[in-house]
Amino acid sequence: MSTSPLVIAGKEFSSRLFVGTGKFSSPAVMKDAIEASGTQMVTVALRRVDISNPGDDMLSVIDRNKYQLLPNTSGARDAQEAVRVAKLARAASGIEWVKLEITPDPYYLLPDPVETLKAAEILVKDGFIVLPYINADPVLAKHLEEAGCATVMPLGSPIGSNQGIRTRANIEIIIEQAKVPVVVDAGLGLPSHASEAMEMGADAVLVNTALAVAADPAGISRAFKLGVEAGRLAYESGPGKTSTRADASSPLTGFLRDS
Amino acid sequence: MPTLKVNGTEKEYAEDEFPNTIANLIAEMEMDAKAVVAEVNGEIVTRDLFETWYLKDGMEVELVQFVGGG
Repeated sequence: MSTSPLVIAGKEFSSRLFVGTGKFSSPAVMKDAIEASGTQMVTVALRRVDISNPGDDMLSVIDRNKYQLLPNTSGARDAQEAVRVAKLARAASGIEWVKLEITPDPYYLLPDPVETLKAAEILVKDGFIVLPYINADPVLAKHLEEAGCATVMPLGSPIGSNQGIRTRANIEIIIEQAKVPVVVDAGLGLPSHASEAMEMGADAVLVNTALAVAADPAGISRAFKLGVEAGRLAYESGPGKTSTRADASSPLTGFLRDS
Repeated sequence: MPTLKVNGTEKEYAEDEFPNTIANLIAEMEMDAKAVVAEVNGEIVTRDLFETWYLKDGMEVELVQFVGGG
């Protein structure tokens, strides 16, 4: 089985599952989960070093030759903060890819559309490959595409909520209209949710919490890998249409009865 | 006594113990320089400049590193 590769900013990915690295119980558990997921793109965050306890370097267990690192701007509450974090992340890693994430609201962590567009315009001009995390707003998605973003990443439901895709109708419109890859990010709690996104025609999904908090992170990471592959293969296979009435799958002739 | 504000925390140094460079500051704090990037008074300082970037009394230093995140 092989489905078509995903291309973002000229780079090819055979896996359509992106993995976040937060909330894992240890770097070793995270490493196993990343490997089991088959991913080629992992997100990381940038934070102040804890002066009293510097701790381990997260990046040391992630093989940068194997995985595209995608630093995020999490924690940023406006465009200015996001641009600052993105520039620090680029200086720290030499990577120009950035998951643009601006979430001023601490309860639902919903992304700020106005600040996100503002930051995207600045970062694109500065040479970044920008993958913005957004609410499932088709008009905003178009604006970001026109601003030069490499993808759009609409949310299925709030970050870490595991509720699955609650924004389906709008994501369908985004997929229909987008000329850049659409990555469904946030809220996917089960492989079936990831599969649903892929069946809808999403180009990829990004999953973190569902993997990190499971009893067996490597196990569920493999399940997500299969879910994503199944959904993509189904999409590329052109599934049949739904209808309200039955349509017999057995022949309607030659019954064992008179007339 | 000279001071530095490091990651939001004010640090005071004896005259002869002031870390003159970012490399010295990082060594004093027992951090792995490979994992860190610095911002001094709002300006980004990359690793290759840690040895030669001189710190002065009253400067604000941010030391950041990658952590797990989604």
